[in-house]
Formats: sequence, structure tokens, C-alpha cells
Amino acid sequence: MMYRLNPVAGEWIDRSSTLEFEFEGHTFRGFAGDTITTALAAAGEMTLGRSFKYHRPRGVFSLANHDANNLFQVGEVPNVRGDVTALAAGMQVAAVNTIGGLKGDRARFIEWLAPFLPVGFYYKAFHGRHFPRWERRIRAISGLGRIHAGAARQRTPKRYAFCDVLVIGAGLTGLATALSAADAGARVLLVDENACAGGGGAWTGAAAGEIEALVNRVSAAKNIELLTATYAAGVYADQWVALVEPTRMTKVRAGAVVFATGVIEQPTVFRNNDLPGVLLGSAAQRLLRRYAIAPGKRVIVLTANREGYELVRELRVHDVEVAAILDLRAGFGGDAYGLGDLRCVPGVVPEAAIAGSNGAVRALRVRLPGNGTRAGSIETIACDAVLMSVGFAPASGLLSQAGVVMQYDMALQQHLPAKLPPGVFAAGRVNGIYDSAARRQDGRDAGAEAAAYARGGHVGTRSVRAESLRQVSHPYPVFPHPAAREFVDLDEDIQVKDLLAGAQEGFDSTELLKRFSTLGMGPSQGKLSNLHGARILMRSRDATLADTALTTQRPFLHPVPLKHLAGMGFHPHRLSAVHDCHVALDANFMTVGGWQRPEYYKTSGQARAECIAAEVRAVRESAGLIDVSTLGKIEISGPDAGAFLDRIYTGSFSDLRVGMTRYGLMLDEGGIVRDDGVIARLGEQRYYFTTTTGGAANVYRELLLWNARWRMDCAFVNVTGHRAAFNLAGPASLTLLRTLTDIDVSESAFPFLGVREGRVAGVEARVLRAGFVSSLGFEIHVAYRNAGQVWDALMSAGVRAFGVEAQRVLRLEKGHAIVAQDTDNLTNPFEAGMGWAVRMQKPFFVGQRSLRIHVRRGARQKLVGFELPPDQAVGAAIRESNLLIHEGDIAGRVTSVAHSPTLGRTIGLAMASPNLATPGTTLVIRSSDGRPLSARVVRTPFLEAG
Amino acid sequence: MRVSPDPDNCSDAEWTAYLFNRGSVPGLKREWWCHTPSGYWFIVERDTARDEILATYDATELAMRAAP
Repeated sequence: MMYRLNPVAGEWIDRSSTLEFEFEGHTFRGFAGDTITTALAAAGEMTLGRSFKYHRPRGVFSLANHDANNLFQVGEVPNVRGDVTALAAGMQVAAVNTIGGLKGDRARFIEWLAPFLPVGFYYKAFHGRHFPRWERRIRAISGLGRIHAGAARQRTPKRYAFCDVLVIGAGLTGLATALSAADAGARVLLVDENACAGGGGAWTGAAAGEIEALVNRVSAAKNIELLTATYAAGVYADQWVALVEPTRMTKVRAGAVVFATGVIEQPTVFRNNDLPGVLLGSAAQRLLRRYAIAPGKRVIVLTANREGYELVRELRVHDVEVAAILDLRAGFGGDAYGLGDLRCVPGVVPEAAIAGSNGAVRALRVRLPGNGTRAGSIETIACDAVLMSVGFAPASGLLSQAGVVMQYDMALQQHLPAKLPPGVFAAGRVNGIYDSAARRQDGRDAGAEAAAYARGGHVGTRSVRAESLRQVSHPYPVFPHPAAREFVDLDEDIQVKDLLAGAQEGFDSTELLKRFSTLGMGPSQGKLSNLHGARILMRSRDATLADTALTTQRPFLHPVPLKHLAGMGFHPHRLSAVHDCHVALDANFMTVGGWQRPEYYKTSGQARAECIAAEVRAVRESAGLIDVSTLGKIEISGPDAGAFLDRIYTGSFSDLRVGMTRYGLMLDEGGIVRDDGVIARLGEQRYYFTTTTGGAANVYRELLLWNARWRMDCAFVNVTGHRAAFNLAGPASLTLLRTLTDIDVSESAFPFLGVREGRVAGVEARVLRAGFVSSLGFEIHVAYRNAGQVWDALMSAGVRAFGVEAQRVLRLEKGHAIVAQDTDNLTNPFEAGMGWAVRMQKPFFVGQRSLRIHVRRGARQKLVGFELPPDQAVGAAIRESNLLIHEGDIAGRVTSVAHSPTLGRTIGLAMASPNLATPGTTLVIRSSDGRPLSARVVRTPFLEAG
Repeated sequence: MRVSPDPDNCSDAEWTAYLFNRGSVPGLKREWWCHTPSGYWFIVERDTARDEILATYDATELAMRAAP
């Protein structure tokens, strides 16, 4: 049984601060600095969770963020990793994956069914028609934790950071690396996933006080920032690394990255190696040194390296009885390490751990080596903890993400980085270097090289030094048992026989076997199981690890809480120059193409539809004013300006007279309608044109690209934000404008589609005579700073402001299509009824070649106007995107629909099969509530005058 | 960077192949890139198999450079 020791030098707990919490309904106490797991372990709780598949009791195993069986529900938060999550007062902790609690978990029965549940059972048995039914059953008993759908939304801030050298891992090597890089003048960011810096340095050869001294130097260094409790979750291109902190995510761009990530201790695979009380040697070191917890009262150390004997020394410092040191290697005894006074047995084979009445280990059965001709004997050694120190795997997940290929080294029995991409460095134990002096030197070298690389002075790649490497990993610490339960993967309850069965079924590569057996697919992502799994597989094929690659390790290194990944929901929008005027007029705003635009202006006592109808009537009967500042506005000038527009638009603009405008349609190379606008010729070599509200930025960028290719003699300025524009529309607009401008607006001097420059309301303005929403109308373009003045002058003259909705109705009455509303990514201009704007006889325009094919093939659809009979007009629930149905099949869709206050009926545009395009044809529209409604195809415009 | 066939002297098949068919084979590519803040288009030569940028230059240099 585990218990708390007297204070240990360097412990991470604060004994002056006691925290009370609840676990499975009982009250427990821990100290500040404890994790959930260590607080429970100190209280003697051996069983902390139930395994995923068989619901076996499980306890502390790695204490290094790999303990998938120490997942807890903490209040509303599921799947909290107990081995690394700091204890907090008042926590309500419960085990996940139990039915009726941890101790009496009723799902234990599943283990009795184990013989009938071989690996792959679910795939095979439930594949087929009845799968959904079985899936519901299975899901009801599996799954970890409970989601609280009503949990409060948690926001996690993100930040960006930059550094010259990012060092991942603040152990002995990482600390030396950071100091070395900083000495070379680099700005260093040093991160470590543990609550404190130091890593495993304290038990892997650092001198007494050395780690503290290094940490002090790092803290004192001005150009090193140290982040603890922070893990690098993902490494992306160009040294872009995502750092996950408890309450923040940092996206860091580093000049160079040094991976001093160390190693992950690997278990020994033998029967019942999953019992509570069987744990990794490094977990015991963490318990002892960080949390002052003895792993047991009488322990067995199962080892195959010097690290195991160092552990024994540490246990004796704390007066923990060591029942035996069992070495898997033949010929290695305690004498070699100066521990000859203890029972040290070489060449041991672990047979099985034996469970006590509390479910935890009470003894270890081993086979002792024979002596010459005598066969080995079986012995059962009583103990309450088995500490395994038989080998390591490099913590190479992040290295792999950085593009490093790991190659198995047969001499070390460890994977080593084979080739490092530029800017990527590895140092320390991940390089196979275990001796402390060599690790320090490796870190110093890596730090200096990374700093040089970040300065751009040195583009070299490091290779691993071969000297002073010693083997610390047993080549095959796997001991199959006839009765099985030798767990390779504790996350997923995978035993040796499961892997062998998978290999026999033909899933005999690491990637295939993973998918068949789910090896490495649990919460710890195979950090304790992939290596042994591959060893078992390769031995079954009479091959070695040097002949294969391990499964690909992808982001994230550890699971990242969704709150860290969720965006902040930014929806930036632009405001027009006269936004405040709209607010003063009580506009109801909507977002259009990234802008806030007035949908309509509210009038007290009137519903939305009434307000819109009143705005429409104002335009039809006298005059209305709409803010169209959101239109894209581009100036183009130069000798080739006209010729350039001829190539961009479907129409002809080099022959446009100065002082006139012309509608322009822009296609892509596939002949699809992309944008439209009005092009005004201001001078021989000067044009000014508009684009759709949503298209401004894209069109401008596309124009620049086309001219980067064509290299014509013209230049572009995007003045979208510099100029405001208002459309003054309606029969009274001319009379009204006359009072405010020095431009001669008489019919003879300023014809339809003309453009004039002059003064409006005392400021310089460009006025375009346009007819988008009404037969008579003027678009007034002024500088941004003068917009308010002009708007106010027009409003004072008695004009009624109208919004986007009224504009949609007005232009629909005039039969004008809106690009991207009435057209889509498959619509060519002939189908949209815009063929009049296309001059096919021109030598070239973008999309012309494809249009020739479209013309030959004929239209596949036609944009048609339709109207509903007046008696169906009111309440007819036709919406945009409703389908046209013809002979039981889809024959098109409604693209625009509105009730026209002017005409007193519902009108709309629809993209229909060509055979339905003839005026007079009856269309059947399936309304939003599913009813078929009849409409009649009519000619557009719906309204000639007005 | 794909070079358009002469629209007046190519077959429909050649034209549609230019429009719609992409090999997407990893390797050396010459591409148009845009620096969005300034709207400046330039040429990037990169190796998509090795994720490496080999050269960047102005479009006026296209004629002087051999395709990668």
C-alpha cells in the first residue's frame, strides 16, 4: 500500500495547504501541489479506475500523462487526467467507465465473457444489418465520462509568440540547451509539461542541487522564458508549434526547435502486469521525489538497467523495504551496482502478478534461473508493489510531427532520430544519450547550433553521437502466459494473444495491426504500447524493429481540450461612412459581404413588411435614397485601360464614349458569371467602375493577377474604402438633385447611362445615371469624408431612405438579376438572361472560349420571371431555394421571390429547365411547408415604368 | 502555373483539360502567389514533395527563367 513519507527535499507539495475533495462519494484530503492521482495514492487508494474493455481494477502506472485508466469525471468535466491534473479544493471526483461506482463496478462481468470476445470480435460479429441496434447497446456500456450538455461555455484565450529557439522539455538536457542558446544571444522559450522544471534529471544522474541551480540560472536569464505545465501539442511547418497551457493556447513561431523531450519508460509485459501496485520505475521515482509517496511497504524491483538499481537506492533512502531486485538479464546482479547486500537475482522470468483481496498486487510469481543442468524453479515473492525498470522509448511524437524519421538502433534497442530537417534539433535521452555529463554536453551543443541556425548563419543538421551510448532497454521484455492477461496496451486491454491473432489474420504491418487490434488508439495513443506491440509483431514474423517503422504519430501529442481549439467567434464587419445616420434613422442592420447594411428602417407601429413596402412605394412614387458605399469601387488608368477592360468584361469598353457608362459582366475562364458592375469612362485613359458588394476584394486581386500575366500599360487603385456612394432613385430624383448640384442634369445634357463630375451639396462628386432599381436614378459617388454632408443634404431635401430589402424588391420588379443570388457557380450569362451584355465577336475576353462551348451545347437552365396568381399572393410560403417540380422531378429552383407592393402580387426569378422557360408556362413550386404551388412564367421586367 | 492553350486554335478537349484537369503530382511547381496586403503577385517555385521553396521572383523575370 502506498503512503505519504516525511518531507522530502525538493518535493512539489505544499504541506501547509490541505485541500479537501470528494472521490466516489467519500471525502479525501491532499496537499496543494498534489495531482488527483497522488492525493488518492497518498491516502492508500490503490484502485483508481476501471479498464476500458474488461473493467479490471487499475491504479497508478506512469504518473506521466499516460495513465488512461486514471481518467476521472470532475464535476461537469469528463476525462480529466488524474495523473497530471492539479488537485483543487472541493473537486467532485469520480471514476469513469463504471456502472455503479468504482468498487462495485457491475460491468466487471464483461471480463468473464473475455474468451468469447477476441480481438476483432465487434467488427466481425456486429457487421451488417443489425449493427445500429448492437451499437446502441455497446455504446451504453462503453465510453468514458459524461457530457453535460448544459455546461457553461468556457473561453480559452489564444496568443501568438515568437522566439529564436524553442526548447521542448526542461529536464537536465533541456535546461542546458536553453542556457547555451541564450548564451549565444538567442531569445529562448523553454516549455515543460510538468508543473515544475527539472524533468527526470533528479533521478537520472544530475548531481545533488544541480537541477535547482540550472533552474535558478534559467529564471535569472533575461532572454529565457520558462513555461511549465505547458505541453507542445503539435509541430507544424516552419517551426510553428502549438503550446497548450492550462488556461491558454500559445501559437509560437520559432527560428529553431530543440526537442529535449526525453524518453518514456516502457512496461514489462507479463500476466497481470496491470494490477494496481504494478507500476513503472519512473512512476515510483515521481511518487517518491515529487510527492513524497512510498510506492509500497515491501516492493520488488523488476529491472534490466542501471536505472532500476538507482531506484533501489532511492527506496532505501526512504526506508522502503525492497523484497528483491529481479534482473531480466542473465549475469547481472546487484554486485555490479554495489547493492550486493540485497537479494539480487539475475536472469529472472516474471510469471504472473497475484492479486490480493483488495484487487491490488500481493505477490509476484517468478521463474528463477536454473543452475547448469538444473531447471529453473518457480517462486512466489510477497510484495505490495512491483516496480518495472526495463527500458525506454524515445518521446519522439513531436519529432515525428516535425518530419524526423526514427530508425531503430539494434545496439541500443531504441529508436533514434535518423535525419533531422533544417531547424529541427534533438538532444539528450531522445538521442539515446543516457549518461548525465554527455546529456549536458549534447544539450549545450544543440542549443548553440539552434541559436546559430535561428540567426541564419548555419544550416547544418545534427547527427547523433555514437560515443558513450549504453544500452538501457531490454530487447524483448515480453513474457506471454498460457492464461494470457499480459497487457501490452492498458488503454484498450490488449494482450499478447490479441496481437498475434491480428498478425495471423494478415494484419501484419504496424499500421494494419493498429487498426485491427486498436493498439495505440486509446487516450495515451500508444506511448506505453506501440513499441512492445511492434516488437511482438516483428518477432512473430522473424524480423526486427529495424525492418519496420512504427505507426505514424500525428498531432496532437496529448488530447487537447476542445475549449483550447474553439475559436473566439470573431465576425469583423465594416461600417459605411454614414453608419451613424442609419443608426439615427433606426435602421435594422444586416450583414452583407462583410458590411453592416440597413435591411430596412424601422417605423414605430409598423411591421417589417410594412416598413419595406413603404420604402418601395417612396421610390416608385417620389424618391428614395440608399447607401451603396459597400459596392467595390476601382479606378483604372493608362493607355491600355480600355483594352484591359475589354479583356476582363464580356462587353466592349474601349469604344465607350467619355462621359458614358456601360454595364459590365465578368466571367471566370469557365464562362461562369462571377461579378458585375457599371463601368464609367471619365477620360480617354481613365475609367471608374463598381463591383458587387461581396466581390470587391476578390475582383481587385483577380485584376491584378490578370495584369501580372498580360503586363498591359494600366494601373489600378481600389478606392472602395475611400469613396461613399448613394443611389438617389425615383421619379422625383432629377428635380431633387437639380437643387443640390452644379451639374446640368437636364435630359439633353445628362442622358441615361451618362456620368458627370461636378459638385453635389457643395462637394466634389461623380454622378452616374443608373437604372438598377428605377427608370430614373442617380448614383452619387463622393469622398468618404464628405459622405455625411451629402447624405444629410439629400435627406433634408425630403428623400426617404430605403434599405437592402426594398432594393431587392425594386430591382426584382425591374427584372434585374443579382450575381451570386440569381446565379451560381454553374451559371453562364446566356442562362442568366444576360446574353445582351456579351460581345462574342470580340477577339478575346476571359471566359469567351468556354462560352463558345456553352453556346454550342445550348442552355441547360434559364433564369425566368414568374408570378403567383393574386389570390395566392398573401401568405404563399414561397422562399428562395424552393424547388421547381416537373413531372415528378426537380426542374429548377427559386432564386429570388418577393411580394411586390407596386404590382400587388408575388413575383420572383427562378432558374428553370429550358423547356419551362416560355412565358405562360405553369411552374409547380414546392413551398417550404411542402405544398405544391402554381406559378406562371412571365416576361421581365415585371414593371416597365417607375 | 498552367499555361493556357491558344483559345482560338485549340480543341474543346484541350481547353477543358486546361480548365479542369490537375495532375496534383508532388514535385517541382511554378505558382502565382499573392502578397495580400499589397496585392502584389509574384512567382514562387517550390517542391511540393519536399515542402521547400526554391525561388521567388517578379513575373517580369518569367521569360528569363527556365521552367523548373
